[in-house]
Amino acid sequence: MTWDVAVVGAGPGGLAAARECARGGMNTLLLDEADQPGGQIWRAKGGKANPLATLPANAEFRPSTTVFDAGPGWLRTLCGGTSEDVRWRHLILATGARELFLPFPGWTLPGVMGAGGLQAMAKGGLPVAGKRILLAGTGPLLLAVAAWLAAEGAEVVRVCEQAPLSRVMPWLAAIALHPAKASQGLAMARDLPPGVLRFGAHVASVEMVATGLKASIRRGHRSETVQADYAGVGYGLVPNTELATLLGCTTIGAPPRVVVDDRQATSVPEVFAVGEAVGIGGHECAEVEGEVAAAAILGEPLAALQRRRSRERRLADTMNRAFALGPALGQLPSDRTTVCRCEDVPWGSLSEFDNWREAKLQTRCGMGPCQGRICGAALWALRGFGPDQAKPPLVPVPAEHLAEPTEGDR
Amino acid sequence: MVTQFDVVVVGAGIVGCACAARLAREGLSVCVVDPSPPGSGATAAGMGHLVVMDDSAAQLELTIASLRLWLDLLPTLPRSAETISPGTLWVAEDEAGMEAVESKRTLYANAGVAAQTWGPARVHEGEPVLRPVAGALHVPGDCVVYPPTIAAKLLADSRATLVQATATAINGDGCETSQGLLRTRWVVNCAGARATDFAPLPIQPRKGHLAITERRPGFLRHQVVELGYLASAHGSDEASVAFNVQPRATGQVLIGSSREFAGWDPAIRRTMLAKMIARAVSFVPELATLHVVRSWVGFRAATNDHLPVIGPIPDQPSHIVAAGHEGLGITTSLATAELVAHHVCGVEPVISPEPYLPGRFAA
Repeated sequence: MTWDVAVVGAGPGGLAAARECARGGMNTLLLDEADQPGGQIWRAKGGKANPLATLPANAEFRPSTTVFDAGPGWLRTLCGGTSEDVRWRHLILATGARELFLPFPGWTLPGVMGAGGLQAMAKGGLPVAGKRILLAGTGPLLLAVAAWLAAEGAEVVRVCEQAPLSRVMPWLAAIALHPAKASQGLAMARDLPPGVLRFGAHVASVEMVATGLKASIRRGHRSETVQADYAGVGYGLVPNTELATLLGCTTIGAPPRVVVDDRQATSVPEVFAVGEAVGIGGHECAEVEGEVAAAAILGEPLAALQRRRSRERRLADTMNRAFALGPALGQLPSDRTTVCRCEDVPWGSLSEFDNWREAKLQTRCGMGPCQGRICGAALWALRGFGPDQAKPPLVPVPAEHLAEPTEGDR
Repeated sequence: MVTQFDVVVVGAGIVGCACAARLAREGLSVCVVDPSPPGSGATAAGMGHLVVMDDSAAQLELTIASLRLWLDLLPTLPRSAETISPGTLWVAEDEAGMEAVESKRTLYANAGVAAQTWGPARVHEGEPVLRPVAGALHVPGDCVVYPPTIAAKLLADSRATLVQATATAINGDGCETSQGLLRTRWVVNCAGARATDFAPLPIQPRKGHLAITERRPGFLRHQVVELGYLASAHGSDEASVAFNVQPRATGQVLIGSSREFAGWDPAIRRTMLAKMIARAVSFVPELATLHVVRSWVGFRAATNDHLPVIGPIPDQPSHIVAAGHEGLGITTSLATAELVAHHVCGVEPVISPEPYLPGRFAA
């Protein structure tokens, strides 16, 4: 069968889009690679009681389903060892974002992970109660994770926000006008141990000592040393644009995000994109964009939704300016610091190249199983170039799933 | 910038870089012009199989001469060249195939190339992941390399001036480019399937797909190719696939191959990929379970007689072509550079230059 609408990603944006498309009478398929709906954000918070409750009956949710190839009118999916085509008339990409990791000496040590990654590990069973935890990087997620870990009984020893307070102030002023966000922020601040937060500070290096991790923290010209059991270091989020790129959608920016018009339509006919994939904006923004895409497909009035969307995007722009990465971060990796973990490529070997293609061909950077998802994003952020193509399979799949007879091509 | 050179090489693929290195060794000042990074076209897209091939006597002579040059070069290359020496297994599916194995072995023996006929048991012992076959020809001297880093090294060793520009015309003054005229005595046209931009040559892009797996060291021991490969490579003009798998220094398995004339369409066609991988799995069943991490396409520069074009254009003696190597550009790059050095500075040719001259298309 051919679905009226296929939605990839069951986070806030994808759920809203699927709900609205189905409400408007479209047979809608919602896919997610996780076994639960909600995306990183609602899964992480353990919140939003059953996000599927609001899905009408003509919408189907298919969990644990990975999209590994796509072309006009089709997606190739893998679920439980079986691959099959999903045919669509309209496609909504709500592929979300991943954490940005920047290389610094020690970032590959055991116990050093992303900030969001540390939270996910803790939810997955890593004991954190009583553990000394250092959080560093940038963005609101950092504080959210710090507050959550503190509430779980962890000893949050330091939270280093790379952005200086002066740059964060306009964003604080902006969210103060949003009662829900302001109270969320206040709750976080309350959960945080007093005196641990530093603005304009970053982790310069981490080393392993007998008692755990020893991190060197730099703040302007000052530096301090902090000991911890775990370090969660995440420099904000990177849009997941690989599926959009494979479909031929135009992207922009470093790292890239999907270009959409005021109907959330991409440059490719009948392909829409919403949420973090079109620019980091948070879940309220993703939800309203999901509703805009659905209304555009249904031919329903857009103006009121678009006004809401503009408000959310303006706030997001303020946030993204506040937490823009400072120039000091590009100086963190030493020549010997690994940048591509899959292929063991040191930072110094990339210095002579000014484009991704050559850097990849000459050093193997980005040729491993993650296909540059991690090192490529870091290079986009620090050097201004990175992967700009996507090739099937989007994620590694057993060869048999690429050997099956299929109809329809690119 | 100096814009006066003895030689301008158009194209920084492995052939262009090999020519630059060889001509620089003769003391000439060399400029290489390419809009893309060195070794990033067909050089990066292929398998990097250094292989003796016998589609014709001239092809056999060229590949053998070039492999000798490679054996001198390989020990001097850095680890990034990813050199391994797995040899090639030419697999016969049936008794008719075994006859082809035998005549191939005789041909190789007469040319001084080591090769042994393996029966089914020996094949199973030597390459256990392969399904039962009638037998194979084992050619131990063939090697596998990673060409992009070698192209870059040859270029660096040549100390040639690299101009990042698109060549637009080759004429009596030299080479016109998007960055202006490069004045020169000789132009060596190493533009692969784009060599036809500068001279009327029967060269067409012949598209191929490849896929590479995760690392599984020891999974595959030889480059394994079905004997029917030559039929696919040089037979009809129809789209075709052939079983051709290769172990990489990284422990990955590179899966080929496909051939089709599709212009410059860069789309990875999943129907073609499926046929190609299914063919490989039919020979190596366990391959089905290996994760594929990436697939891609590239464009071979195919001539209508399956031999490269090496030598001066008849009425344009300063325009020397070195293009149209189809699937053998890596293997034959070094001997090609020798022949180009012969045409430019009269060095003793390693083999007869006759079969590859552009003049053969004139009649």
